[in-house]
Amino acid sequence: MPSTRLKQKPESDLNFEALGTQWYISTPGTITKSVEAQIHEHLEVIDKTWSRFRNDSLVATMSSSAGTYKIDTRDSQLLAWYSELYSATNGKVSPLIGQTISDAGYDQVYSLTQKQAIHQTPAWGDVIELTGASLSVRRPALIDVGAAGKGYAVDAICDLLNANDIHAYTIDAGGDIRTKGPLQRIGLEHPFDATKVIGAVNLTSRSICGSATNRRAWGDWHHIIDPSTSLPTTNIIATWVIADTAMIADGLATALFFVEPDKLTHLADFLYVIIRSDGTVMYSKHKTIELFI
Amino acid sequence: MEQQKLRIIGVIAIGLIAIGGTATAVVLNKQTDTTPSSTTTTSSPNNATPSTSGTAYKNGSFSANGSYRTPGGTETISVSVTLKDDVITSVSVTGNGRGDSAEYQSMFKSGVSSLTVGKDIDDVKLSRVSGSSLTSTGFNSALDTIKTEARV
Repeated sequence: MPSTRLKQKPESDLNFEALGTQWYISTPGTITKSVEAQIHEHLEVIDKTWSRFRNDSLVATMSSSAGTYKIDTRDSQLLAWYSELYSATNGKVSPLIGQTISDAGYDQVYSLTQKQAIHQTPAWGDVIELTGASLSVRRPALIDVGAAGKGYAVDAICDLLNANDIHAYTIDAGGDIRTKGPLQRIGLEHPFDATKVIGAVNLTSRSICGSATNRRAWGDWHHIIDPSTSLPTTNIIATWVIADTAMIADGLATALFFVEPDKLTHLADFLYVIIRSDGTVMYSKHKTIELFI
Repeated sequence: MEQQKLRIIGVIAIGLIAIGGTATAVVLNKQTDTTPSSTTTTSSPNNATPSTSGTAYKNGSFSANGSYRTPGGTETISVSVTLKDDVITSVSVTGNGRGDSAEYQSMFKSGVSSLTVGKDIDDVKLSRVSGSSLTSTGFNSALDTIKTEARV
């Protein structure tokens, strides 16, 4: 429902589509054509590395060939974060969910049609070995970084803006937001009505990312699948996490579908709002979060 | 108000179709929509009156039964709302809720509420909105195609 989104300022703000979602970048400063080109270039590199929706990505290569692949520092940070999430959720947040989610119908051509046989998600230790700047895949596996990849991309663009002396901005990639500079008030979209918000959070130089099962849903499936059952999760409708970086917030927002918040507190400093499928809303009691409920 | 009883009012009051696999959609009897099979909706003939022009729903009392899946099994809930000019003036909920929700409520006593309708985006001063409606453009367009094809 694009018509229900907020009106956006014109001029130095950027609006574009990348990594399969809508991006919006706002700054009181100026984004030059050169910086704009760098942003697109950088997102293309991320897409070409991690997209499971194209045949020429690193992920596509790893899905057909075992081997050791060079990855850059930032990419290994993403996998290191995945490794922490994997441990904290007892393997439920896994980058190896790719084949399972693809078999369920969220595949390269968006068939949204479930295959007869759904592959089980392999264990991390059976497939992945991460050593510094190289990623070894012991056997071909379809990697999906959907749980933290968008946040990771948002953080990469933040670094790019910082490096170009832009020090106040808000980046919004399909509702995953990171801001630096003056306070921004961010609404929490009602999971069943995009014209409404269930609350608002006040952010200063932090990130908020959300995850919900109601939109990317098809048939009996949605995009958050429990590797231990190969079935979609059922007890949570939506989560939001506020954290210092978007990669952390994004990953924790997915992790909250599988474990209680207190199982994640050792990973990062964060605040959360969770809407459970019984209609209860659980949230961190903190002045940053205001709920209209 | 008893939180337990208010659980899926947000779903019902808004009368939008939830696409998700977790919460069953409950649709007020907006005439153009089909009602999901797991939901029955009735309007009371006694006090339903034509709404003023420009509203999306008829005035009157409506009730709906919905079911939704939880890890503890299927729970059903019955909700009655009274609408006037698209505004809910009263709500009552009865349900057979069991499962683990009571347990969660006690665990998070200081930070648990019930999902309600929230506020209109236009009524709240916001910089941005965080949510899932624009999460995946490719996915959304595929889904739109399927919904169009499925429409009778």
